[in-house]
Amino acid sequence: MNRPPLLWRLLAYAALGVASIIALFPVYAVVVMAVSRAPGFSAVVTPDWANLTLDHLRTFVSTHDAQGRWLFGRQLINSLIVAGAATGVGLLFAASAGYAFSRFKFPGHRLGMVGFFVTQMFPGTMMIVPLYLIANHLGLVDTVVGLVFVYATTSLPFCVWTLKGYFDTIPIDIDEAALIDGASRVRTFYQVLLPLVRPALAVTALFSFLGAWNEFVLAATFLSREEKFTLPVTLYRHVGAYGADWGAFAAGSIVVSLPVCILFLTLQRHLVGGLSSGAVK
Amino acid sequence: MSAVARGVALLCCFAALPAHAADSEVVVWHSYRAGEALALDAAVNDFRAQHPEIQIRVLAVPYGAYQQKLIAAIPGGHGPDLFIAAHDQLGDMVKRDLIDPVPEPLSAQQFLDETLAPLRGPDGKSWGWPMAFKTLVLFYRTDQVPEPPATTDALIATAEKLTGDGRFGLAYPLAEFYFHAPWFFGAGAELLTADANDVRFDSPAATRSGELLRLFAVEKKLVPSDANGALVTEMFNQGKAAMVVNGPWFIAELRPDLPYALTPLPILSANGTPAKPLSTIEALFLAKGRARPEVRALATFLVSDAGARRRAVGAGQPVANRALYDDPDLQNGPLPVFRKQLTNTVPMPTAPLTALVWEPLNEALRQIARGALSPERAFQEAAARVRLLNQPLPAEANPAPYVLVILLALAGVLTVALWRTPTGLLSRLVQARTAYAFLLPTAIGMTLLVGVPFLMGLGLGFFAFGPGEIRFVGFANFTSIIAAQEYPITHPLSFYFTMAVTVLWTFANVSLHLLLGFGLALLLTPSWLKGRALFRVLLILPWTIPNYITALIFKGLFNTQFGAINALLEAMGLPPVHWFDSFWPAFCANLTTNVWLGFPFMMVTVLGALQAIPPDLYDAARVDGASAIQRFFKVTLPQVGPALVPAVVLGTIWTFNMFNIVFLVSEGQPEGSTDILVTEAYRWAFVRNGRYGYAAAYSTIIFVILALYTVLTRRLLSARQGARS
Amino acid sequence: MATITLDKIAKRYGDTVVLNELSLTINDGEFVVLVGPSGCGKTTLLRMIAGLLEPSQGSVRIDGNDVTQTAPGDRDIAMVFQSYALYPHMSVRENIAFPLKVRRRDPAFIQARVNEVAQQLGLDPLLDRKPAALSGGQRQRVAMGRAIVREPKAFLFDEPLSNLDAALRGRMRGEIAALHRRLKATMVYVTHDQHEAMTLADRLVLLNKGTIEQMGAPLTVYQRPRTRFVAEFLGSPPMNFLAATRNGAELFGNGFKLTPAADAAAQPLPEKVWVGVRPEALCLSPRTHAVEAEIDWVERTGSDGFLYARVGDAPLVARLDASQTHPLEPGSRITLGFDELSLFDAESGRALGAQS
Repeated sequence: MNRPPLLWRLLAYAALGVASIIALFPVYAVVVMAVSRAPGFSAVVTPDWANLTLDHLRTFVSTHDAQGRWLFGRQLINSLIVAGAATGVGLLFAASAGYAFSRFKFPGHRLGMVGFFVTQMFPGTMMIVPLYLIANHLGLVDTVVGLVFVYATTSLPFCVWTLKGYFDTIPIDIDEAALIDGASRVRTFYQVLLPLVRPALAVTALFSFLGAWNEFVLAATFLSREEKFTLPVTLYRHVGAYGADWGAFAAGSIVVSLPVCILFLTLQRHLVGGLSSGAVK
Repeated sequence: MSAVARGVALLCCFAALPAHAADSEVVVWHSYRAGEALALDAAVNDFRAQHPEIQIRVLAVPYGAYQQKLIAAIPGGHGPDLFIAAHDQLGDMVKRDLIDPVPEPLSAQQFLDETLAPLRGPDGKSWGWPMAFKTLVLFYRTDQVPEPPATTDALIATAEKLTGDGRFGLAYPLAEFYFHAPWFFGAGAELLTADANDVRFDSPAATRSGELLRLFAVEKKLVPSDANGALVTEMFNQGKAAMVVNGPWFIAELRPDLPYALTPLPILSANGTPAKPLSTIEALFLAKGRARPEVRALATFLVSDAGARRRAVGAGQPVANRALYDDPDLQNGPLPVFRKQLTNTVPMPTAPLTALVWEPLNEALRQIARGALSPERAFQEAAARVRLLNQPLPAEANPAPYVLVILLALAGVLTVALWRTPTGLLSRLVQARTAYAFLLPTAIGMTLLVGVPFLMGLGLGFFAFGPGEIRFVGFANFTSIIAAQEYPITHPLSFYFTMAVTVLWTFANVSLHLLLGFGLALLLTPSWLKGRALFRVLLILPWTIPNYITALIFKGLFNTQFGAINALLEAMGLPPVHWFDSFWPAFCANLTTNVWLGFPFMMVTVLGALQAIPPDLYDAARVDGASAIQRFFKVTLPQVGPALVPAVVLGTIWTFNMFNIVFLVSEGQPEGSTDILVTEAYRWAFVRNGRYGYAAAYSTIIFVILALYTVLTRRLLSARQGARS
Repeated sequence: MATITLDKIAKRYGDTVVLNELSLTINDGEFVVLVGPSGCGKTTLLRMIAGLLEPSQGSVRIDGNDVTQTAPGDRDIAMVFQSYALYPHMSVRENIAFPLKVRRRDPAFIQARVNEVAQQLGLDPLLDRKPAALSGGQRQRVAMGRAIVREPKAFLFDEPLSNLDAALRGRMRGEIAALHRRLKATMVYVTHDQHEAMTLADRLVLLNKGTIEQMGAPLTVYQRPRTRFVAEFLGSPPMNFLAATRNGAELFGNGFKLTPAADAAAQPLPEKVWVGVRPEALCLSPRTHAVEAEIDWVERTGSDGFLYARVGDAPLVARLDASQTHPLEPGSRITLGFDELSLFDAESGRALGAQS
């Protein structure tokens, strides 16, 4: 590969460097706020490096309830369970639906695909109260299961679209070969096709997980036991009616964002392929 | 017909069966945090010790979700038995039928009169047990202010001496009416008329309070113009503000070693009356139908002198119990100052109209503090705005024609579907059974948890929610929004202005996302690039952070006086920007935030699409003599373009409805001009008296706009593809 | 081993007819090649035998059992795809074992059978590789292995060699022929390549526009095309056609005149005919018939020399011995002689009896 002149290369590095700094700056701001004793935003401008503290972090991580249970631990596990289960359920549903939309023609095909898109257009905030009422009828309120299903379904449209697109890139010969080899449709789906859409599965998993992990309004509305709360609910407890504890909020933000960051960064390779291969078709 | 309408509405929306939780447990909800939450827990533990047989569950709900949770959970049967809320929500809660009155009369010997009165209903019954009150007093640094000012003249004189060099004599959030209220009521102004049907702040007295504000902010610049609660705290802690108007919650946020004291607010020198802040009574409310003996026992204990002592001592809460103000332990603390101030307060009004006044009043204050409008004009405009928002509910409509149209439409769709399927729908359905089997879980989930709420949301737009009634109004909400008669189109509060801003917002965001995403993806592709993985990781980072965190962080960064961005500008020798005082800077602040969090998605999409381009194409183009720029336009763009279409369409929809950023960063400032349609819908539903129907109609309009946009793009794309092939 | 019977089978998509009431019986152990231009319906036919497509009408029988509604996996047939359709995430071993695994065969049997097949096809060193790490020919072999391993009643091949380069294609052609000899299984083979069709088929079925244009032993079809379409389709370079008008017993064309043997034309010739001459039938010396041609250019491939010329306006190709073509120069006029010719009705395209 031939290289452009040195000047151009330096400019490219400079541009990437500046972009990275801008991308990092708010992250830096959160970190500074989280470890500064002086509360709030002025710490970002004039950080007091000599006087750092881990108190905020400790406060956030070491919450206990009246019974002496370690709330943070439970909530972390809740968050993991809710986000993990929502991802699993969502992916299972989305993959089978994406397969159906990619491989079959049936009455309602177009309607279904458009329908997924349509639901994305109605503002989510207006759907919370109706959603709560439905969930209540189904006995899903105040249960982790309810939250799991709600999160799983809200991420479905994006997941189905992405997966359908990715299935479309896999030649139908593969399905037919499996069918002729004697595999049932279900077996063809999970044993032959699912392994082939792994990059898209990784992307959609990431999306569902991110959505479920970060969501706070629904979780706060649905859950009514502190030990069942997810982490963002607790995080938001630091912003009150009268003022907020920005240090704790910043520390909490780091704790809440960290797992997703790690997940994202480990899966980012798949991210690049999975997102667009699905989009090509 | 109204009975039918109500029946439909009930079926649609509020037909939740009350399924009570295990009755053995008493559930208490609150939105306290830190010290207050701990003190409440301590009081509850005292009660547990006395009554080990009663199970109690205390739940701290984040303030941001508290109201919605109460509204949703109590009618749904998953609510608390008792909950703590401010008395100004009383009207709304009664209207929604969420609470019962306190079963027994409350003793005037036990509670301060000022805390009992606001909770009293017209029949003399109390709607809640008073727990504490919140009001404003003057905090001052004893190292800077030797003698607390007794009058506003003294306040100004003291403050003038201490102002300058980045320091301010006085600090409070200027543009929040709650903090302006002391001067407003002190000057003799009133919020509402006696019958609470109209506003009264277009009065000379209100103007006088506005003049005082202008003196503080514009003429003498004693008060920083852009200080919110968090910044006031910082300034006071750092000695950058000598005096602060603030409430009891402020104490917990001060450095323990800080030399400070409190004093009641000064007397207004102009008319000799004391400043009168608003007082909010925090009360314990009894959820509808939950008056069990153990619930009452817990409530009685929590508001008893013993329970109150926990809160007064533990959290410095100005409690409602008289006895504690004679308590020797509390004599030297701040509580007596609040008690003294309480005699000069105005209870937060509870009339339904009140919910509509805050936004316009805050806006008026912002205008005055910026020097943009005279106090008189500002209050007049605010009053006019409230009167507009307070339009009567539309007349009830006959639902029969609507039902008929819906039925006919359904029948029509069905007929067309059958007619267009000559081979027999049934056999095709049977043929596709495998496909349906694969779709079943998704179909059920989507229908129940997305489809039905969506249809309900659409349906709600045809109803109006008034005090204690739900009324079918047909298209009235829609016609009223679309007609937009209140304001000329160019006015920031006009529907069409908001729509234009929304379109601009969406277009600007998506373009910048694309531009940045494309640019960075191209920079990341060359094979000679070293550290590609590192750069990619850094540039994906903004995506991983929850957007409400991003929004709050940027809000801080954009702060005029203390934000890092203005600090940066000043370091470069540029003048600081008042980010939220005029439209374009505020819009740009929102835009910056959203671009920051949104570009990685586009970048990753483009990266993937770039990888999918066969290298042969570039080689061929190079052999054909195409320059780098030509290669970009003739090879890269046409290859990547189609892959980006879904991302762009989806991005447009998401941005169009990007609530968090606008709501948290600019908060619609100035004058609601940076509001987009979604935030406007939210305000109708949750800020302005719960006009759900109106908000739902807004949402439906948003939906229609987006649907049209999608259809249009599809048409355009397929037309272009048709032309190409 | 099986007999496959297609009975009045048809496939329509709306108004588009892909196959039109076609009937065909493929005998036990027979190697039938379906050949025809793209869009003739040959792949559709194959996919209906496989069960991947449901016929709009008619039935498919295997060994007398109606399998029209039977799932592909239950028909006991194997298929080799043009794209090979190997499972990319499975190793060669897993790919070959898959049909047996799906049928829950005994693992020991599967292993033995996979090894046996791998040995037959020379795949044993590759068993643990993924398809992506194989060459085109190796992938082709794996696809065959996956088909053989089950010992099915019939094999279906959908243009299995079209993704290979010429040399490999020739070799694989040979291997498929050998496979057929060894297994003696019923095989249905779809191709658009006439070499494959001619060399592999016991019986060749030439499809055009959804109907059978002609079928029979390859050489018979080649030598006695029933229509101009068949004559044009088989043979490379294809048969030359010269327009001619009958006048009495003689045929006049642009730049030639010839008299077909009287005895062969049992029926009276129509007014307008096509005279068909195979390129290899032409030579540089006058024979029974002769035409005057102007040379456009000459191609020499070592053994053969191809002469591209025009008779009047009609193009003409002659396949000669390479050594004969040396004196020939573009632009010069020559006389080309031939003995054998075919005549076709200019209107219907039907052959008018074999001519010599």
